[in-house]
Order: sequence, then C-alpha cells, then structure tokens
Amino acid sequence: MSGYRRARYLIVGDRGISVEFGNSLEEEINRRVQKMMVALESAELPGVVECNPTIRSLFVYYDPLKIGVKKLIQELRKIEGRMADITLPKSRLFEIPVVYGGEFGPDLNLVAQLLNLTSEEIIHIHSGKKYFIYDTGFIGGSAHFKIPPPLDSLPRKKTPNFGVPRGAVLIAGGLGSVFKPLAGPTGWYWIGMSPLRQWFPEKDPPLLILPGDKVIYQSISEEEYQEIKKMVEEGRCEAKILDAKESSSPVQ
Amino acid sequence: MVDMKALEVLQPGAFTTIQDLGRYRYQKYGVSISGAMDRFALRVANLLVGNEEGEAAIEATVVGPKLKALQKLRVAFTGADLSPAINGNPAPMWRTLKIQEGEVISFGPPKSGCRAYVAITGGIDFPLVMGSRSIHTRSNLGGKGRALVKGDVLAVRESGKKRAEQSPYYQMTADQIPVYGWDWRVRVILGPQRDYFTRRGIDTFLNSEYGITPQADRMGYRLQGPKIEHKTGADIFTDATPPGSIQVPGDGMPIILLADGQTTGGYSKIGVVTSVDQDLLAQAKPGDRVRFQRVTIHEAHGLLWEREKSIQAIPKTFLAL
Repeated sequence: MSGYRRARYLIVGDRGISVEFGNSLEEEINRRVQKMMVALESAELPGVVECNPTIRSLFVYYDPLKIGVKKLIQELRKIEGRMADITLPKSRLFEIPVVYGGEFGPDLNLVAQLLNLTSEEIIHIHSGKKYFIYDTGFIGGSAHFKIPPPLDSLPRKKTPNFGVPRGAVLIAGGLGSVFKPLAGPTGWYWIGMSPLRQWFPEKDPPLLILPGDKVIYQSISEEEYQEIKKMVEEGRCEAKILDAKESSSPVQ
Repeated sequence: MVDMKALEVLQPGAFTTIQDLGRYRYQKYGVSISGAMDRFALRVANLLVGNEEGEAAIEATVVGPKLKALQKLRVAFTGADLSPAINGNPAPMWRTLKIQEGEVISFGPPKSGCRAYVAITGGIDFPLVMGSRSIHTRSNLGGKGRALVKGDVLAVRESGKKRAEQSPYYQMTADQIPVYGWDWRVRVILGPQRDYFTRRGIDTFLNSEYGITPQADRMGYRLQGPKIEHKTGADIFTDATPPGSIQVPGDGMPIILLADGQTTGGYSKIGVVTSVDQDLLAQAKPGDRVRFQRVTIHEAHGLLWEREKSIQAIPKTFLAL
C-alpha cells in the first residue's frame, strides 16, 4: 500500500487541519484524499465549514467556536475508518490544445537548456500522454498532474514571476499545471499556451477539469490557437472529451 | 419601489472594494475566501449602523474614496484612520453617524492603519456570488469584479435598511478601539511544515524583525529580513494555503497570505498567523516592521474566544447618544 498506513493530522493555524495520506505523488494516495472528502462531505460534521482536497492531503477548514480541535480530529479519524466503502465518480479524458514555445511559452528554451535537451524533445515528452489530475487549486482552479522524467527534475523558480497570462501551460516541482485559469503570479516555468477556459464562475462547479479527470496535450499551430480561442470566447466550445477509443466528441 | 441608490463614487481612492465576511465552500475549486481584511473592523462597523455583522461594506486602502450620499443614511467609519470627513468637516470614527442626501464623504491624510471601513444601514446591495458579495479582483468575482471606479453607484439593501433604522445610536468606548502602530507583534502557530526548517531557521523566524515590502496587498505581504534556513528544499507537494499561511520559498523570505490568497501553494509553510492577528496585519503597511511570536493552538483558540466575547459585548457597552 502506498502512502502512510494511517493518515497524519497536521495543525494548520487555528482554523485548519490537514489530513495527510502520504508524501509522494501517487494516484492511490490521491484517491484516498478524494474518498475522504466524499466521506466527510456526506457526514456533514457540525463545525466543519468546507474542505479542500490537494495532491496528498485533505484540508479541513473548521470553525473553532463550534468544534474543538481534539473533538474534530477524533471525528475525522472515525470518518477515515469508513472511507474504504466510497466509490469515486468515473474520470473523463480531456484533450488540451497547446501552442508551445516562442511568445506562447517564453520559458521553453530555458527549460530545454536546463535539461540539456532540445525544445522539440521537451514538446515530445510533454504532449500526447494521458495525465491524471491530482488537484485543482491556486486561483481559479488550476489543475495539476505528475510530469514525466526528466521534466520532473525542474524545481520551482526561487522568486515568483508576476503577471503570467490566462492559458499559460506551466511545469515545475514535479508537476504540470494544465493551463493557468486566470492571469497572475507563478513560480513555475511557462512553456506554452492553451486557448481553453478552465474557470466558469457562473457555473456550479465553476471548473471544467476536476480532480480525478485525465488530460492529454495536443500540439497545435498559432492559427489553430486563434481559431479555438475565438470559439471558446464566443461560448461555442469548451473542450473535447475523448472516450476510451480516442474518438472525439465535442462538449456543449 | 423605493429608490435604493445610496452612494455615488466621485473619486475611487487608491483601492476601494466591497467586502463582507467572505466566500466559503468553494476553496476546493480554487476560489479564495476573500472578505474584509480586518474582520473585526468590518463587524463592528456593521453593528454600529444596526446591521448584521456580516453585511457588505466599503473597504478603503490608505487613500480613501470620495462618496456622495444619494439618500439619508446612517454610516460608521472603523479600521484605519484615513481622516474621514463629511462635507469637509472631520468626522468621528467608531460611532453611528447620520448623513443627509447630497452630503459628501471624503478622506484626507492617512493617520494610522491601512484599511478603513465604511458601513451603511442595510449593507451594500450586490448580487451574491457563491454566497458572498465580496469583490475578489484576481478572479473578477463580486460586483463588477473590479475595484470601485468613478461613477459607480452603490445601492443599499432595502430589507436590511428598514430594520437597521430601528436600532439606537452607538459609540465605542476608548478601550474597545484598537490602536495601530507601525511595529507589529504577530502571533503564529508553527507548522504544518515546520519539519522542513532547520532549528536555526525556526529561531531566525521567531527572533528577527521583518520589514513589509511594497509587494503587499489583499493577496499577501512579502517580507524582507534575515533569511530563514530550510533543511533541504523549500518545495512541498502543493497543499492548502488558508489565510494567514506563512510560506517560505527558496530565497528564505517569508510571504504571509491573507484574505485574497490563493487556495493552494507549493512552498513550505513555517507557520500560520492566528485569526485575531490577521485582523491586525490588515492594518500594517509597506515599511512597517513585524515580529513573530509562537503560540499554541489552544492559546490561539483562547484569543479567538476572547475576541468573540468582546464583540458580543459591544452592543451592551455602547453609549447611547
């Protein structure tokens, strides 16, 4: 079995508990996070405000005026004991079009240099593979997956970069960010741009790609990017969901 | 129907938004909690005008806005002292005030603190987005998804206004009003990744003074001071970063995430600022100094209970005018 035999319960300030299931990037650990979330949400524990599933831990946000921390951890341990019975929803596979390099991915050359490879080799490694989504977070539900070697050896940048646009395809610290849902800062390497949208605040849930889903990158040209971007902005296209035989069916 | 237009923005100020107590249950979709940076000041401002404590109010930053009243209103100024005035006459803070249609609220030089709150009877009428009226500019949520600009017109919630107008006038006593300086003692609970830091790193963090850099806004404050030493790396598997999280990236300089902070992050967290001191930090400005003091979770919960009791006591200890 991967991960810890029993979860670790970490204190995160005076309103949070992190239920940590392991310290590695493994689908099995992540599925335990997802299961714990489903179990906790259905338990409707008084004093629990909300939870936030991440790669290898479930963050539980609570109201300390309604439940004490000791009692909360006791209750969470009980729920942890019951979570094996939970069945998770089936995952979907999304095709993610991306333009690599140039002004669409200003860090691609730097990444190639750091890894002693060509940009083409980086693109070849990054695209065409199915990736499992571990979490959605940061701002606007940035979706993360495990990147294959040798890309996984890149650390995060020491000082974050302010002002990266929406759609930026990012890698760092063993992870990929499918594409940035909203413009903003990042400490990751920016290698491409996708014309898709992840963030739909008017919808519930407000995200296209959710934890447990899978994605596959498809390298496209600048022209195709502009075309898809226009369609996405006009609300005519969200993304392609591919079925098991890889034939495509448009969403919406 | 009665016209509920309440305030017209004549000048927006440096960064003026509408905030309530925040947006919950959507962190898992990457939605920041947001809400008032200084919750204490927001809650009190609302109580002073007879509102429920979590109504939406105006949050101004250092340079306040200029607002024209479009109807008779009750208002209260709390938080930072940005020299509030009504029709050019200095207005007292931390009490209920009445303003007439056509009168103008303005602000002058900042005297203490960073963020001022203006509550009006009934609360600001914005559509609820994911359960909150708070503006979060980075994800364009709340109102028009941006800070207020000249020409914006704010409406008041009709139902709340009627009820609030029945309540008495209040004035807070001197001992209930916080004093804001420029050197801050901030209480923190160590963890969840304290094991990523050397003993020396933790000592540096707890025994040094840090300066707030100009990179300080509702999302968080970047601090500058002695470098905090990690054992090996600064990076973790991305996990949750609730407000108050103190991230330390590879450069060893702490970043405190606040109301508009992202929901997850990949830098190790040396500690988390207590809820009560997050309110205080909301009043800190670039150039101010910060020192961290370690407390246990039980002490932090004790502080929170004290804070709640003092807020609950406010309607009883107000002096009716």
